[in-house]
Formats: sequence, structure tokens, C-alpha cells
Amino acid sequence: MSILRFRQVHLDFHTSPHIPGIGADFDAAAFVAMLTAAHVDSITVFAKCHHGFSYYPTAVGTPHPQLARPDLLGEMIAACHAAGIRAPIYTTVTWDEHAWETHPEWRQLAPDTGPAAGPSHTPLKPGWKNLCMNTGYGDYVIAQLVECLDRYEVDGFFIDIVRYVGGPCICSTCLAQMRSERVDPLDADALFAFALASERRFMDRCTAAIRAKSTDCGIFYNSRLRIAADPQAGNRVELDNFTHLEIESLPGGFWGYDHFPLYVRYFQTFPRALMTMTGRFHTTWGDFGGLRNRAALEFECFQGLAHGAVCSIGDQLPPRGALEPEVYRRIGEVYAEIERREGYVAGSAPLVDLGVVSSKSGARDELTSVADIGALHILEQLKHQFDVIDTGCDLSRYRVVILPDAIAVDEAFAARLRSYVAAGGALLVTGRSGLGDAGFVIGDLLGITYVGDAPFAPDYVRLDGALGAGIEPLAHVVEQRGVAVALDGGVALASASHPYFNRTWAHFCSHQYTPMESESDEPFAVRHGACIYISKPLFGEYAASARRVHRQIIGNALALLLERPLVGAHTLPTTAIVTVRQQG
Amino acid sequence: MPTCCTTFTSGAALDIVEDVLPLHDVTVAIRAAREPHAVTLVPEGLTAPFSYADGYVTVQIARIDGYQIVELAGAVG
Repeated sequence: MSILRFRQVHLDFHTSPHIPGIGADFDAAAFVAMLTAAHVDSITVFAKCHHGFSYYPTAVGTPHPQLARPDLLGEMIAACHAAGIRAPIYTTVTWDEHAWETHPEWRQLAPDTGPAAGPSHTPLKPGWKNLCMNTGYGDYVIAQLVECLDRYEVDGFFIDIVRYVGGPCICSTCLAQMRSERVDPLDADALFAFALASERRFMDRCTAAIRAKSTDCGIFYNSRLRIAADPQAGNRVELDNFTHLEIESLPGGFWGYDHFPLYVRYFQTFPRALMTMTGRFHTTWGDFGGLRNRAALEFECFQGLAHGAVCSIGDQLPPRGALEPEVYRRIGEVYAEIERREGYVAGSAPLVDLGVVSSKSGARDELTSVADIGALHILEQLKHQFDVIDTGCDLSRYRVVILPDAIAVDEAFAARLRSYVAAGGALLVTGRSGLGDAGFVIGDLLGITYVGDAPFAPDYVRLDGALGAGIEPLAHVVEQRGVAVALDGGVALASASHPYFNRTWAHFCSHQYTPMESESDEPFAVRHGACIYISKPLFGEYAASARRVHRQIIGNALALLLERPLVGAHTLPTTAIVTVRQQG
Repeated sequence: MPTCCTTFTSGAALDIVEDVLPLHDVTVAIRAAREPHAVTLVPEGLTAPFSYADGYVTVQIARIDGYQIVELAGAVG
């Protein structure tokens, strides 16, 4: 496992060819002095940017046409190394505007997203367009990596946008290859699998080219970390290409504040050092005039540290090449505090009680699933210690495994769940998790059989006993439709109560939903040995409506399955996050 | 045992963290196989009052300003 520096900066430099004087004000001594004063111990610097231009005298690519200092990259690396600062090299794959303009045959062609694949969708709008790494463009990128290795002392590579952003490619190179491999491009799943295989093949090629020149530099491929319930669909099978994992997660951008805590709890199950990457921006990348609040930057870095991750703060170097002093004052305020604390986190490992199976599919443009977010909120607020896991993970390290709302369980996974329970493990299952075409695949574990969809939604639940601890004796609403089950060895802990009718055009009552009419014998929660089944998708519902009662139901069910959790009695507020780690 | 406490305000498309609201007189119990020989707020180096009973270390923390690491030295056997 590579040991990463704790206080990093990721220095974007996507700089238009229409701006003059690129790097004209760069001063190596001032650059390093600014970084040192800000407690920065590693900075990722640019070989090539999304505009497609290089910041060194490249023989492979094209130097930025207005570059005032021919080897800006080399000057940065040399200055950093002289000051004991690591300087990994950034380059970009799918987005390279210069290559897109000059090599039409390298462009990605998407089946259905307009004239240009990529975020802009068209050359007539500003924004990035995608290239295809299956074409000669892949060779071009690899030659640039090799050129960097030949020219510089390379600490590592950050290889950005290694993904067909927005969907697969049907360019003529890909189609010819599909024809020879008998892949049907009209089969969406096959097309997707082909793109994934292309990405993985490209990473293998890059890694081999890098390792031929450097046996120990860092290697990270960005834009493709995804939680995936199916380990074959995710990053686990790609891990040999990665020396560490950088979780790019700027909460002011589309990642929000739920992304990092979910991802870190999944990727902490990987045998790799982790990084949390936020930004100095108020929003996200390219927010030149935005400065992150100090409290926000502290929260993001300290949260990363609490999960054992090193920190990286994203910035963009202004065109003339001088770092912005106010930005580094802000970074320094936070990194001074990280520096005092990192020794207490280095080499530590998380202690966990729970494994939460992710409901995230392999669809890669989607970052998170609603049930996963609900599980994050519930368990974090309850101070439980947990991993997010895929169906290939070793279950034996968890005292309880949770299958939230809609986890697909095939026969192989069912067999592993049976072995886990037989060996003393406990299960908490909600909603449609484990439900197959012929009923519950793990109905034997849960002590239930499938009847059908729950007849009413919303409906109600009134709780007593252990499942109702701390919950007011009211008929509490559950808005999302659950599953009707029959007991088959299990014992009902609570039953659903029904409204007068479902709300339709033909009959409705009041503003929202129909009042309760009567209690029913439709099981709401069932216990069978060390397994509890709750018939409603409470995790997803909590992500949507955050009803305290729903969180408490999950907490009470876990209390029945998990005596003596890692965090016991406390007086912390709901919003406090607690992580428990062991060092040494 | 690090903790983070924060509050959010929001814009239409993003949540904002702006204030650090201190917590006072916090108690938290952590499961531990052995009684720690010291419980320390680090990196401040302040000793935190604690008790050990029934396999839990119960720590008292007078004040948390956003973030606190609590070191339970020797708690895991």
C-alpha cells in the first residue's frame, strides 16, 4: 500500500489558447514559498490540460501556443523536489479539445447524444467534447506519459477522465472492433460492456507503459471510482492499476455532502490508501472567483482525516502562473491543523460492526443510490460504524449485514448469506431486498413468504415493545409502498395499519394521504432468529423525508441484532459524526 | 475516535458550511476490550476524564470546536 502525503493540492490548469502570457509570472521560489507557508507537502502539476495543450516542450503533443515559460512543468517539479514537496503529474484522457479539433477520427461518437459526445453535446456550445481511447488517440496519450517519464523524475501520474463520459462509443474504430469481436452495438448491455472493457484495456496499456519506465511511481485513474453492488462491474477488478484511490468529491459541485462519506466507507474495504479531494472553490472546479468558507474546508478535510484519508484541495493556477495568495492563506489555515493531527491517523484502520450492501448498480454516470444515502444518513446519525460493501465482500467481519430496500440476491449470494448466518451473523433486510421472480430468495432466512405488493401506500405502523422504544405510540405514516409478506417461521414484531383507501382520482381525502382506518395482520417487521425483515423501503424513505421515527425503527431493529455496538451511550447531537479507528 | 460537528445553510443547488458551533459537556462511550491506560484529547494533550465499565470507555469532553480526536491508549488488546 502506498503511503500518501496528507496535505496535497490538485492544481488544475485548464487554460484557453486565447489567453496570452501563460506562466509569465511564474516564480519558482515564490511558488514553493507559498506552498510551504500553506503546509502543502504534495502538489499535482500539469503536463496537459483539457484544452489539449502541454506545459512542457513536448515532441508528442502540442505546447500551449501562448506559453511564456517553455518548461513550466519541469520548473515546478524541480522546485518542489528541491523543497521536499512531491509533484505528481496530471494529464487528461477523454477531454482534450486540441486533439478533438485536429483529429476528427479520434472523436467519440455516442449512439444518441447529438453531434458531439461529452458534456457540451455540440461544438456550438462551450464545454468539453469526448475522445475515444480505443483510437490512435490512446497511443498519443500513452506516448505523452512515456515522454514525461523520460524527461522528469515522476512521483506519480493522475490520469484524468478515464471514462466514456455520458455513455459508450460507436466510432468507426470501436464498431470495427465490435464487428470482429461479434459484439452487437444495438444491444445496450453489450455496448456498455464493450466500453468498460475498452477503458480497462486502456488502463492496462497505460500501466504497462508506465511500469516499463518506473516501478514505483504512483498511478491513479480518475473519474471512474464508483460504488457497485456487483464487484465485476466496479473498480475492485481494476485495482491492480491503482496505487491509491483519490476520492474526488467537491461538496459544492454535483457530489454534494453525501458522496464522500459513502464512497470512503466503500473504498476502505479496498487494500489501498485513500484520499479525500475537495476544492478551495465555493462551488466546484473552474470557480475562479469562489473561495471556500474556512469552516467548510475544515469540515471536509477533518472528515477525511476521521476516515483515515489524506487530504487534497483542488485549485486552479491563474493563467500567468502565480498562485493566488488568499487561496493559500485559506489552505494553510486548514492544513496547519491537519499537520498537527495526521500522525494520530496515519496507519490506522476502521473498526466496524456493520456491513451495508450497496444498492448501487453498475450504471456509471450515477454516483449514488437513494437507499445508500438513506443508509448513510441513518447509520451515521445513529453513530454506527459501518462499511459499504458489494456482494463479493467477505461478510464474516461484520456482526450485522444490512440489505437496504432493493438488493438483488442471486443464488450464489444467498448461499453466502446462509453460511454467514449459520456462522453466527445477523441480517437486517428491508423492502424488496432478496426478492426474485419466484419470491424471496432468502425467505428461509427471513421466515417469510412473498404475497405481493403491499395493498396500501401510504399506510401506517404503530409500534410497541423493543421495536417501538423511544417512538411515540402513534400510528406513524410510511409513505412508500412496501411488500406484503406472510409469516413462514418468523414472528411479527409489528403489523401495518391500513388507510380507508388508496388516494386516487376516484376517491381522496384532505391534502396529502388518507387517514388510518384499522390495524391489519399484514406484517410490518418480522424476526426469525438472527434475521429481521422490515417490509417497507425505510432507507430510501429516510433519504427522502428524514422522519425521525423511521431512523429509530432501524436503530431499534439493530439494537435487537447487535448488542454492544462500538459507540455506546452518548450525548452527541444527531449531526455529530463519530468514527472509531485503531492505530498500530 | 474523531468526531465532526457541523451545521448547514444552503443555496438552491448546494449546502453551505459556514459556522462552527461548539459542543459542551459531551459524553460518549466507546466499546473497548481493555481499560485504556490514558484517554487524551489530541493533539492538545489534554487528559480527558473517563470511566471503564462493562467493556465501554465512557469519556467526558468539556468542549468540541468542530472536531476532536480522542486517543484511547491501550484500549484494544
